[in-house]
Amino acid sequence: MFGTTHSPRPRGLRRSIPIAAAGLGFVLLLAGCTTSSSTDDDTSSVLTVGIASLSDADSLDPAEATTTGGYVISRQVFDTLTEFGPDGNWTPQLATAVEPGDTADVWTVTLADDATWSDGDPVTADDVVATVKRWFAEELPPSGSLPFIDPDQVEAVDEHTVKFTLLYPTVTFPEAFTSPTTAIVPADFDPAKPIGSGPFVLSDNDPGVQLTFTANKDYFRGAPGVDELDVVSFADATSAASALTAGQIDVDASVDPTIVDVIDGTTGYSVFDYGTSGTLTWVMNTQQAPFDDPVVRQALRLAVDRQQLIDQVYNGYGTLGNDVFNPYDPMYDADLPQREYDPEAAKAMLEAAGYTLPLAVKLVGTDNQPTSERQNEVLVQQAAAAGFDIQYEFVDSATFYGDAYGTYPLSLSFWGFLGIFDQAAFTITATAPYNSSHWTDPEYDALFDQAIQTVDDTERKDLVAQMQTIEYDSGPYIVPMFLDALVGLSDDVSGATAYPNSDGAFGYNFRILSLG
Amino acid sequence: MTSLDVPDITTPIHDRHTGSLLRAMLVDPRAWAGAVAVVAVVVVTLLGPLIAPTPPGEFVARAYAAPAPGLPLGADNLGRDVLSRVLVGGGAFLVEGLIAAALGIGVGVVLGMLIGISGRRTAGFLLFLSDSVMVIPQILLVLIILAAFGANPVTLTVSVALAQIAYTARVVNAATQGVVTEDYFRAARASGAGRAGLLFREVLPNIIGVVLVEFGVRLSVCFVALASLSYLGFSSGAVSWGAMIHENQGGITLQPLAVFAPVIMIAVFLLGMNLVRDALARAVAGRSAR
Repeated sequence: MFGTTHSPRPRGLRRSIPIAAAGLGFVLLLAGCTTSSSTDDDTSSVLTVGIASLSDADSLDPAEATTTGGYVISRQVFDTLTEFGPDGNWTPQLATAVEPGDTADVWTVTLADDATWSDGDPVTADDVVATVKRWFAEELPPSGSLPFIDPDQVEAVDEHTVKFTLLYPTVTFPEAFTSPTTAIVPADFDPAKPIGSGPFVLSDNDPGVQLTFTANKDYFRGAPGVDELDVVSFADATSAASALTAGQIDVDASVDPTIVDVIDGTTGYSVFDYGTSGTLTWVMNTQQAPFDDPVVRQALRLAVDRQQLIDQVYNGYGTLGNDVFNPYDPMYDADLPQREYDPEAAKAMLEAAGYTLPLAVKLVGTDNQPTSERQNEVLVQQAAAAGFDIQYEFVDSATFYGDAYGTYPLSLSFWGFLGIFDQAAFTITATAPYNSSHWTDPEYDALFDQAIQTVDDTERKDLVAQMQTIEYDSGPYIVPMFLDALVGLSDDVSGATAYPNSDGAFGYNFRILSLG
Repeated sequence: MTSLDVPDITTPIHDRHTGSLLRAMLVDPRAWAGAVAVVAVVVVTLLGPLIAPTPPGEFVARAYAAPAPGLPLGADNLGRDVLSRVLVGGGAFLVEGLIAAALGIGVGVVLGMLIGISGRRTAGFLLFLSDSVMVIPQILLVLIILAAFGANPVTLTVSVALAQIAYTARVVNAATQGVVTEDYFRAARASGAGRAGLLFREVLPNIIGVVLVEFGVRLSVCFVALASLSYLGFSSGAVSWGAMIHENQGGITLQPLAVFAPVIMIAVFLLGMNLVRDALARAVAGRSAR
């Protein structure tokens, strides 16, 4: 239904600017460098996926994955208990059922009885218990995103049943196990030689350059569509797109919206496009002037021309946002009126509140997504018409997420791919670890606490509507639009499916793809 | 970075023909070619904002739209008019480069002259310091400063200026060495002239040719540094040729003009600057050969 504990740390950490030697001539050289790889040379089918980009920090231990490559490895080699499926709802994956008691404080997980590790041993309840205990014993990242779990209260009832007795009741339990960081590993897991239950086995790893996977023919949900999967790193979107249309790769995992037409216009290639809950969201710091004043927050919301933003930055590929998160969550309140661009009203609000225009505001951004800088530039331009004088400062991502994170008056963060409750628990409630807006609202927190304990869907949806109304009227986030996933495909590739609530092309579920 | 033969300037000030440098350059066709290129770019920069067809931030087409009637150079990465941005984008770029070079040269010249007239031990220590700075690649030095203080017009200009000081100081020190052994300098020193008087009345007028050539070198280096920084994403946020290259590189296959137009402006300006500077260097060398 909602929310995953995806990356519990700000997403921009996954991208950093290469501080390369630079010069004017250097500009022209960049476009052409690609890594070549051959496709099927015998009867076995090899799918080659280009990705921007792998790094030598890609973790083989799913619990410590923080990079694109780490998530790719986790999704191929391991399974999570649940996943966000093609309809955006959570579905069982390694589990066949995840069921609450009457009050959502006891959850029973039933495992698939035919799942095996790649060494042939069956996946058992003991492995799940060991995986969860390991997160807490070693203080791995999932332990921070699962505050309701008491590692001492996780028990194997029988070989395929695990009972979780939670510290407090929460309906977010099933979604919390969709994140690739929460993949289940064997009880005797050795990160140096990762053995998983997933659709592929990692057969070769050239860190930062290429990952090679071999199909797990005995995968319990059916063998993947190809015999071998090669994931090749590209420095940027342009070089990956060139490699696709040159026939060097079969899949370009993320196409820049401005070059979609080039790929679509090349015979034999097309772009698979689907909407997601991912969003680049402006965060207003409510501890500092001027955004400590809700009037200024509302004025800036009116100063964003969302459709123009989608058209100019995203070439039309995106859906309108309404300052609340995740339209793919069944709890999403679609009845809130769509916020429209109204710079005159924004100006009038600011003047009525006694501000002298233009109102100077500092915006800090980094390249946490390829389109981040463009989005910030558009805001500077649009908000000027509403009386805002925004000074945009670009910093590199290590600096952005460093000590100063949370002190910026206005900044752009990459969020989404989380259910409404997890998004709130990470970024909105008073105790949220990544609430860099420092916004607090006791009424909101009370509604949140009540909603996560409410098992009845209708009742819970009503509570969420009240939460989202508060965010819409006085919250700290501007959610201007939702990103489309744009995946470049050779016509030989079939099986493409939307995964709207998962980060990455098809949520990095490359097992669904076939060749020919 | 740039190596330069330091002319041996030993001519005392009362022998100098102040107009000789200019006269030598006026008959040098390469100086003319350079001057025309530089002036052309400066004129575009000055008049550009007045004749730009649309405000540079306005969205007029889709991203990377090809050239079309009314959109002669096409659109950039956000669908803004490339022509208007080229016309407006020179000001910030030229001003930042000019100030950075002037600042770097100013400090470097004073430091270089001070080293030149200092005692052996002080000079040795200061030269060691400046050599230590020079072993750090210039762009890296600037990136470290920007990472610490953030990129805005002031930090950009100052950090690029700082990176020039050690180089200028080295060159100026070498030129000063040629002056301090001259009788007129020794006489001035013996007559009790203060340090400032020695530097600005005796040394500087006699190395002014070297300083001008060095200024030309540093100007080019500063512009390349600013363009490189913009390319890496560190720009002051203003519309700027350097930033345009960075912004539009993702669409170079779709809309090459969005990258080439600012590259051509920068290239013409830098080529012109180099021609003028080389002519100046020849004039200085010619004069001292007389």
